[in-house]
Amino acid sequence: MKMVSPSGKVTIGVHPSYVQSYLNSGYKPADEVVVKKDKPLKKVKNQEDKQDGIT
Amino acid sequence: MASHKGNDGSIVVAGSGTVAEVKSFSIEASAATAETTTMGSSAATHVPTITSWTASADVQWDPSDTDGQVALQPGIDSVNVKFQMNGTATGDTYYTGSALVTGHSRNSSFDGIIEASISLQGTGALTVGTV
Repeated sequence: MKMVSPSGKVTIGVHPSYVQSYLNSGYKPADEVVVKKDKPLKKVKNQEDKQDGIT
Repeated sequence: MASHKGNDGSIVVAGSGTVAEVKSFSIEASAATAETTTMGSSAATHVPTITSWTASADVQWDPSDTDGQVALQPGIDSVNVKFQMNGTATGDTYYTGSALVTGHSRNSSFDGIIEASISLQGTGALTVGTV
């Protein structure tokens, strides 16, 4: 099983008999680690948007 | 003739995990040979065949070193290990290869620091490079 260290820096393949030991050390199964994605860029309102509704 | 200090050495696991509290490490590369001596020869001759390497490290035991010491336990798949010999500055030398962990012993005594020894068996070639 692929497991990821608590810092996320190290990924190792672990024999089934060692999985519990690694879980106890803070490692997590790789398929449970959520990959952080960059937040989508905020929409930049242009002047036209700001003036919507203003006559 | 230049000499190089060992205190800037380090061990890196799986690309980015640095082993903490390393006191020393050693790398041994070797080559098996096959004898090619034939009748009529007066001295044995050999040719190199298969190369192999092993490594070991002595560390001060640190169970919180999850990226380094904890990662290097028997029972894991082969992992890339890099031995920085004399630092990580441009031009510094390292040895790297894929290895299996064949041993990880912890040694404790009433009057000393708890230490651990990690043994590695290389699988594939050991390569040398510079930063």
